[in-house]
Amino acid sequence: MTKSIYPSLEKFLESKFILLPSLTILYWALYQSYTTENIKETNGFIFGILIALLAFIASFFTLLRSFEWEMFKSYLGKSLFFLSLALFAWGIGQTLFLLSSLDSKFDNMYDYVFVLIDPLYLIGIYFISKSLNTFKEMSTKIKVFLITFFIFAVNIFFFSLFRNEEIITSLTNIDFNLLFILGSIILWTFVISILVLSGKKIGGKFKTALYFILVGLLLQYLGDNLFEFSSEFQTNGSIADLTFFLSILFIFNGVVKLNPRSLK
Amino acid sequence: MKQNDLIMEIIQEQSNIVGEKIALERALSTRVISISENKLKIKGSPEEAIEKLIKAYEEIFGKASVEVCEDVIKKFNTIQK
Repeated sequence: MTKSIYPSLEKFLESKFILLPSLTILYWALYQSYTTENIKETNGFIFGILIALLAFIASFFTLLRSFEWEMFKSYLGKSLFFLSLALFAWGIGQTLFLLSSLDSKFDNMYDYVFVLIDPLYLIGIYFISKSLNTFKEMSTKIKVFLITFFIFAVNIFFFSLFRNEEIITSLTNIDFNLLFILGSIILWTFVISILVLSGKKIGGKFKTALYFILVGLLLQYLGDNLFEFSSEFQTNGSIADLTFFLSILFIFNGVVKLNPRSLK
Repeated sequence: MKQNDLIMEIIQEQSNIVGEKIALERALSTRVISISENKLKIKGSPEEAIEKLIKAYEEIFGKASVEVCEDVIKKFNTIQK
């Protein structure tokens, strides 16, 4: 199955990748421009279905890639396995999110799945950093930990300025908002650290693949923040959803480019 | 003999990153390294083989892969001293 699907999928993404984000943005902008709420809502829901579908497809192909890199026997295989799990969590969470807009019994169930995405991405990116030998020095590890803590404190401060009541509740009774912020900050700091510490060293056949994955993870951070910033962005097909879609698409394209057969 | 151990160490370290199969394939692609019955054979000088091996791994992640090999060499030399 992989033999029949992979080459054509790789060829398609290689030559036509730019079409996918362009068409997505165009479709999103078109239905956003409609003034009728009904049309906006229906298309927002369709956009939500597209996210779930893309996440499931990307998760499946990432798992296959993980097998190709010997899964648990190599850092790269482990990395792809956890990225695949994160994408799967995306698909499940998004499906529950869509169902919650149809039936109240699914309310907030998606939070329990969405909260897993950042930690799973983080484990995935941790193994990529191991592949690149990014944090080999102990002093670097300490610096990254301190930077993460500092950025987290700054973010909490600014969030408390914007959303005073909510953040006070969050700090006394840890809720999902705080976990989402924490998860996305750690992820963001980690990705930036890899780019700063190993950016110049990344080369070879998989340079573009790694950059696609890293940019995809940065888009995830951006989406997380947009989602948390305003309840307006917590609806199907919002700008946060567009960012998430592009994030998954970039990661997916990076994974497809991480083809071990291209070394031969 | 020591150089053969070093080459095996480099291949082992790269196996941790990309998996044994790909790490070995890269090593064999140098055409100066061959492995039969778990024994490593080198055509030509060991220095040249190491250089070609590093070049083969460089194709994966560029300088990042080279640094992994260099760290193995440093560690190996320290142990030998």
